[in-house]
Formats: sequence, C-alpha cells, structure tokens
Amino acid sequence: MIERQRTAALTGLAAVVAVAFPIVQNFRSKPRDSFPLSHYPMFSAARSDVVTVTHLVGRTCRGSCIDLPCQLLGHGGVNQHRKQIQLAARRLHRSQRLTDGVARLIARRAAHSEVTAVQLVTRGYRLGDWFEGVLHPVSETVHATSAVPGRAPA
Amino acid sequence: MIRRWFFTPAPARRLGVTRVLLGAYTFQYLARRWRLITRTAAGARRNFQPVGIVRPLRRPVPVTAVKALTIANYGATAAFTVGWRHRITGPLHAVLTWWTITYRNSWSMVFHNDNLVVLHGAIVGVARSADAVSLDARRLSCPPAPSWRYGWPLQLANAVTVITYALAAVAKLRGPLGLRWASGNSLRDQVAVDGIRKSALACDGKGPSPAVLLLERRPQLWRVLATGSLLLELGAPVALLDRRLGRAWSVAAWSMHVGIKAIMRITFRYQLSGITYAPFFDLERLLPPIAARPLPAMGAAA
Repeated sequence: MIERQRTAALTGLAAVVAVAFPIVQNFRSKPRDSFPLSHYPMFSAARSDVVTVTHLVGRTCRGSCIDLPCQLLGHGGVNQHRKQIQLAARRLHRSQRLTDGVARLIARRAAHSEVTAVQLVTRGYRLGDWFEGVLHPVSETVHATSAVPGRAPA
Repeated sequence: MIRRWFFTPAPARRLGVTRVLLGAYTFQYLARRWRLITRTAAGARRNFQPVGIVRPLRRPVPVTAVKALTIANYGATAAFTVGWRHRITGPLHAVLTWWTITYRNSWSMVFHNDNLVVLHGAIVGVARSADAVSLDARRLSCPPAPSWRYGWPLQLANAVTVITYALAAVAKLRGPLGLRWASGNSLRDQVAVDGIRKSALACDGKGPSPAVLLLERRPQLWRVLATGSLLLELGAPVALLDRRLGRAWSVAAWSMHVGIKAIMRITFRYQLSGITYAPFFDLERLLPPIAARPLPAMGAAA
C-alpha cells in the first residue's frame, strides 16, 4: 500500500512513462502491439476498395454456396475467430484440419443439413457494395475443402 | 506545478466510490466470462500467442491452473469491491485481474477495450482506496479528512485514461493516411470493413446500421465525425488541466463510444459504462452527506 508521497510520485511517473512508452511502436517498421500497454493501432490502417476476408463456407447438395458462422470454431468472439482462421489459412495442413473439424461437427450436430462440404476461402468484397446491402465476392481463393461425413456430395 | 496537481487533496469517499464502481464492474465482467476464459484457455496450443506479462510463457498453463487463478481473482475482486482487508486484497485484485485479462488476450486477439480496466484496477488496488465506503472503514472512529493520499490515484487514473486516447490519435496520424484520416473516408472504409467481416464471419445477417445509412445520406458527416474524434483523442490531455474541462471531455469521449456502438456495433464496455471517467467526477456526492472537513493546506500531512 502506498503511504508516502515519494513512493506515490515514483509510482505515478513510472505508470505514465509505461503507458505512454508504446508510442515508439509508431516509429518502428514492424510495430508490435501488447496488453495492457498498447499503441492502439485500431482504425489507423489504410483500406483499399476491396477487402479480403478469410472465412468458412458450405457447399450445398444443389451446388450453391452459403456462409457458415465462425461460432462453429468454438468459444470466442468474431475477431478472435478471424485471427484463428487467418493463421490456419497460412498453412495447408492447418486449413485442412480446421475444415475437417467443422465438417465433423456439423455432421455430429446434424446442423446445416443442406451442406455437403465445408471450405475455408479467402474472398474479396467491395467496400461500396456493403453500404448498398450487397455482399457478393469479387475474388475467391479456396484453402481447404472437407466433405461432411455421411452426406452425398453435389 | 505538476506536484501540486498530482497531490491535489481529495475526499476518501471519492476514491472509495471509484473503487466500488470499478470493482463491481470488473467482477461482473469477469464472472460473465467464466466459460469464455476457461474454454479459451483449453484451446489449441497453436492459437496461443502470449502478450504482456504472459509473454515469457512458452506454452499455455494447465486449464486447472487458469480456473484456480480465475476463481482466486473473483474472490480478490469481490473483497476489493467491498473493501475488505484492502492492504492484501487490493494489490491481489490488481495482479490477478492483470493476469486473467492478459492471459485471455493471449489467445489470437488483443482486445483494446480491456486495457483501462486493468490499469485503473492496478492504480486503485495499490492506493488507500478502502479508507471509506468499505468494510475496513468500519474500524475507523471517524471519517478521514481529505488528503493527497486519496487524490493521487484519481489524478493518475485520469492521466492514464487521457494518454491512451492521445496514443490512439498518434497511431492514426503516424499511420499510412496521416492527417488525411480526418477526411472521413478512412472512417467510412473502416466501418465497411468491420461490417463485411462480421457479415462473412458471423453470418449475422445485419447490414449497415440505421446510423450508417443516415451518414451515407449526408456524406459530409463522415468528415465531421472523423475530425471530431481525432481532435477529441489528440486533445485528451487538456482534460487534466481543469476538473470541469475533464468532465466535459469525459462526456464527449463517452458520446464517441456511443457513436462507435451505433455505427460500428463495437462495444467498448468499460468506456460505455462511464466508470472509465468516474475519477473526473465528485462521486462522493452520490453518498449521503457526512460532516464536512476543511481541505488541508498543500503538503500538510493528513
């Protein structure tokens, strides 16, 4: 417990320096974020007209494609799942393991009954389209595909 | 001058109410995330990306240890909130909350809205914040007089708050867009990126919010919002110059988070609760009055 002014002053100085210090990350070629001492890089990036998002989709028996919710990956928020998926997409065996797991899960839960295969894809979307309420991909890369056990492919 | 500002005397009850609000917020925040905390900790090792104090760990700690530490944190935070044996439970709450939230953030994603909960908890936890409005205070024969001991934690919490906002502004200005960030185009793009990610990943079926549709009808509002939020963040340190200015800035900063919620559907819980800005306010006025004491002279031992 802090009882003396000198200790309080030193504590205060140390805290202010520590909280402000991550400002140096803005001047580094590869800034590194941390917690709880951060340089708060959110919302500072420049965006192009097309954003790429890596996510799960399901191929249906009719040959169409539907988006699958990332909650199928387990607990965590959307942003946490996004990071998890991005990491998986960098390596083939991880992508495959991820889609295999989701395919087994939806078979076990008998969920998304029309889905016969699960894919991990990176798609490009135009930012302007979103404001119109439209979300059609303008590009697509498939990282991994897993058939849902017990369901006939399209 | 800085010394005078930092050691501004404050009533023990102001710091006490801040402790209660902060503790209650932290307790409910962590209690509602028991499953999230424990199940995330049981995730695949490849998703473990340690940050902060967790960085020295090469591998995740056993889930049973995470559960035990989280339960200990609940106990320490509850004791911190009611001000029971604060000399022990205050610092314990600070350390365990720092650990719990940092460990949670070491799984793929750092959540920046938790930073101030941890930092404020550390400051209030090591200060004499249970000399009033606490179980410990029942042992005191009379209420303590206003003192620098109750003032510095509030001043430091405010300083830490405004620094984080100023850092966010510097990151935008040092980013690839620089001052062009204020044009509003970047904010608009960011809103779209966030919306697209949520639509594609969570399949929430939600398109642009009504607030976004309103902004799209009056595109100049994007510039107003971007310029306003940049000025609010960059000018945050001004809030330390005067308590009334601090309160006005607090209301503006809180309003910005309400706007973020309405436009981007991003919830900065701690900021939206208002408790982030509590140290700027005379919270003791929320309590029934007690016999007032005169403020001691600057530098006097309280």
